[in-house]
Amino acid sequence: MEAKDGHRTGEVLELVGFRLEGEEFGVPIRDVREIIRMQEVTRVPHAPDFVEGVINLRGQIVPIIDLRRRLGMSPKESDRDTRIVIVELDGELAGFVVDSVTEVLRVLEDQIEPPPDMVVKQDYITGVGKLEDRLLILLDLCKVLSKEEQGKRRMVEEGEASEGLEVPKAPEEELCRMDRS
Amino acid sequence: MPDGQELEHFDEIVSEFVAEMQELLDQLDEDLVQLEAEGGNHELLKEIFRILHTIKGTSGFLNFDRIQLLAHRLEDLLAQLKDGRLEVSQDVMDVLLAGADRLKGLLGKIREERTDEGIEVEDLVASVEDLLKRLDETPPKATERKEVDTELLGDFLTEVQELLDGLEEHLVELEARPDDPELFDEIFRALHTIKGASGFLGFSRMSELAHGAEEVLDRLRKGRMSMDRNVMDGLLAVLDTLRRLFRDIKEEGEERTDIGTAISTLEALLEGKALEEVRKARAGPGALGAVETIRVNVKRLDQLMDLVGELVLNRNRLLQLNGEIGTKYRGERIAEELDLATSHLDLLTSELQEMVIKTRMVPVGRVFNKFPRLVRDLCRASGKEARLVMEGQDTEVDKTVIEEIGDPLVHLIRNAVDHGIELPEEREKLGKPREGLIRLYAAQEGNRIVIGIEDDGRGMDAEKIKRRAIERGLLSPDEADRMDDRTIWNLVFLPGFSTADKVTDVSGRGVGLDVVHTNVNKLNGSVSLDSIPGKGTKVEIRLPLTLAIIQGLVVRVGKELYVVPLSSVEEAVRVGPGDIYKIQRREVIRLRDTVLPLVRLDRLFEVPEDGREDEEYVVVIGTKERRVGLVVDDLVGQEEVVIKSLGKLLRDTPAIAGATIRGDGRVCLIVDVNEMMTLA
Repeated sequence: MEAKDGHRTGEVLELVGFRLEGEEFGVPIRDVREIIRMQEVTRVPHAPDFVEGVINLRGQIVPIIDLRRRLGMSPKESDRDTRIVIVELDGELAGFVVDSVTEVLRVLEDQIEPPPDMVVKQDYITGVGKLEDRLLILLDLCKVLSKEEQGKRRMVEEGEASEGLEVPKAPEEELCRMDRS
Repeated sequence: MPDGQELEHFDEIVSEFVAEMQELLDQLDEDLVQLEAEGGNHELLKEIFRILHTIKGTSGFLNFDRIQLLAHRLEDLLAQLKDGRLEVSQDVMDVLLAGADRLKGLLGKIREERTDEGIEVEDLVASVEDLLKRLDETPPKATERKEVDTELLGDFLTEVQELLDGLEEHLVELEARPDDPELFDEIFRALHTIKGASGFLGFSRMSELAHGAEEVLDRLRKGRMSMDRNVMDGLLAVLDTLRRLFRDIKEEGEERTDIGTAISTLEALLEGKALEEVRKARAGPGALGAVETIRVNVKRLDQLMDLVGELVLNRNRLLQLNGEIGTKYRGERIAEELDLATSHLDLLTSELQEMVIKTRMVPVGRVFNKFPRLVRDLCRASGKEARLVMEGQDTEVDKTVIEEIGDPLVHLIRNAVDHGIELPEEREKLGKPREGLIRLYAAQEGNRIVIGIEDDGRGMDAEKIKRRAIERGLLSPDEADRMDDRTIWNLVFLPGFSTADKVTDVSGRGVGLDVVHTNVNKLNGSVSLDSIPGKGTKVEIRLPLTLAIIQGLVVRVGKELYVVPLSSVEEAVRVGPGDIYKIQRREVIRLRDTVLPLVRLDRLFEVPEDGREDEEYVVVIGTKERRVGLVVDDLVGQEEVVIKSLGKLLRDTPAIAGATIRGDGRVCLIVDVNEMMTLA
């Protein structure tokens, strides 16, 4: 997750791999607290649209992020494979809904390339891992929730997603501050 | 200057220092005001002396030289007061109060800037020295001990040394052989000799103490008192004090050690009280003596609270399962045993939860103790005379409540002095005592705490308040006519009722009262006001004992459940479609003789449609001045809920105050009534 790791060749990164709309993603294993099955989510009115709601994780209230929605993908009903990846961001827990969790991957640093140029640069994509037979998109989940990124998303989505719902205020600060020097 | 990690450590130490200092200074304030009122009470002077001494010591340790210097000088002054060589005159009081204020200023500086540089103390130090100088000029009182012959003193020291050594040995032996009459005689004789010898040489404290111990021994010897751990502890403590006195005499030629504690220990033994009680009694409520407490990070208490909340949920689940198993395997031994174990766990969990909530409780005295000084200062500034009587300082509330309640109370007390209590001359004319009385009290009332402020001042004029409210457009003349006095008085809490400049000639009250109301509301509490014109005014604040747990009304909207804090709920009524009217496109119902605007929770929260229901419920929320009817599909019930935060990402969600976890493990959101009123 920390970019400086990306420049140290030969080091092994351990990633949790998961699927979303046919694509495979990875997040560093050290950020993942646990992976749980989909469970009943309590909707929070007027929350940001990508927040599906909150759950009770052993007594703690944890917000659940609809990652498909957040990444601009089409919605999908949850099924037997749906999982919630619980991560700890800046001292607080958050859960990300994914289609399925694949495996724990060990990827060498030099197998990872910087993210390709896209129309709108997405800061939360930190790189692309080239595995033997497939590609793996590396995500920085802190950035996924950052205010700045939400702003960008709204610009992209404009016209497409107008449910007449006023977008509530974004969180005051980024959930996670990272030194990306 | 320390750096890096050390700096961080230093910072932590300073924070602790500031916290401790704050407590000491609050106590100092209270004591000083009491001193001014009651004069030179020896116990009180000793306490003030001890506070100053502690301040001196701790600040010196951290190199806050100015605090240390000032505290040191004030301590010198107190030493003279304590020993009766100086009277508690107005001059002395002024210097002491100014000193306390300066110490507060210095502490503020340290809190903000981590240094006490920039605030000078020389002027006060000079004032103290002036007072002390005056003392030097007056002749000493004639209580001086007669000059002691050195040779005589030498003999005395040798003898007492031996006696004390013997005493210790014999006392320990006594514990092993409590029935040995010879031992008793031995000890009795030693004490008797010490008493006589020290009395002869004018060492009055040693003599007094030995006399007290002698009496205890006499009773033990005659079987009128029995020997136990308690008595032994007491006697050994007395022996230690005797040794200290002995050292004083040997090294400095006079007695310095305080014997107050030892004497009260002996008195307690003679009265048959347990030592533990003595210690407690001496420490008193909120006193700074040897209180058996430790400082714990509040975060840990919060975590503890979370864990217990979790335990409660699991307990509830278990109870449910136990019920099911009970029906399925009725009469079988295993089901009965499970039932027994479950109910035991149930009991323990409830007790644990209660204990954890209690650990977060602190006595309201913490806030109260700064008020005597406030009243005194306010009186001085306004030329009024008032006495503050406080009751129920021991009543405990959650720490968070304590933090929030200080400011509202300051407002109310300020109001009582400024606008309630009349000038002394005016009071005399009215046949009241010159000195006004302000009563500040706290008491527990079920799971709430009531804090009240009552004065015997001029009370409030309902007509003027009415006029004012109409003027401000808060009330129509019609409405005003129908209101009773009590409702009218409570209008002063309305935002917009008062503007600071004109309030005094209108109601005599009202400055910042809406602020009081808002703050109290935030804590899920309520304020009420009662007044008898010419007799006085009483304001009562009711607050939940803890903010972590509230009573909630669970309501259903569509398929969703929400909790409405019960403190904001006035009533709930069932309505049919025919009961709802529209006025200017807004839905309202008639509730007795008022018209109540409605808010549909399903629309406000965009709850997915779940088929219209014929019958709905209207939950009336709000306060006297503004009420709104919340339309919900059903009332599920009243529950005690533990409030949990929604976290950084969602904490700004409008109209939602937090979440709670219900018995079945599902999350349920708690409605923020205040925000909802503004949205409505």
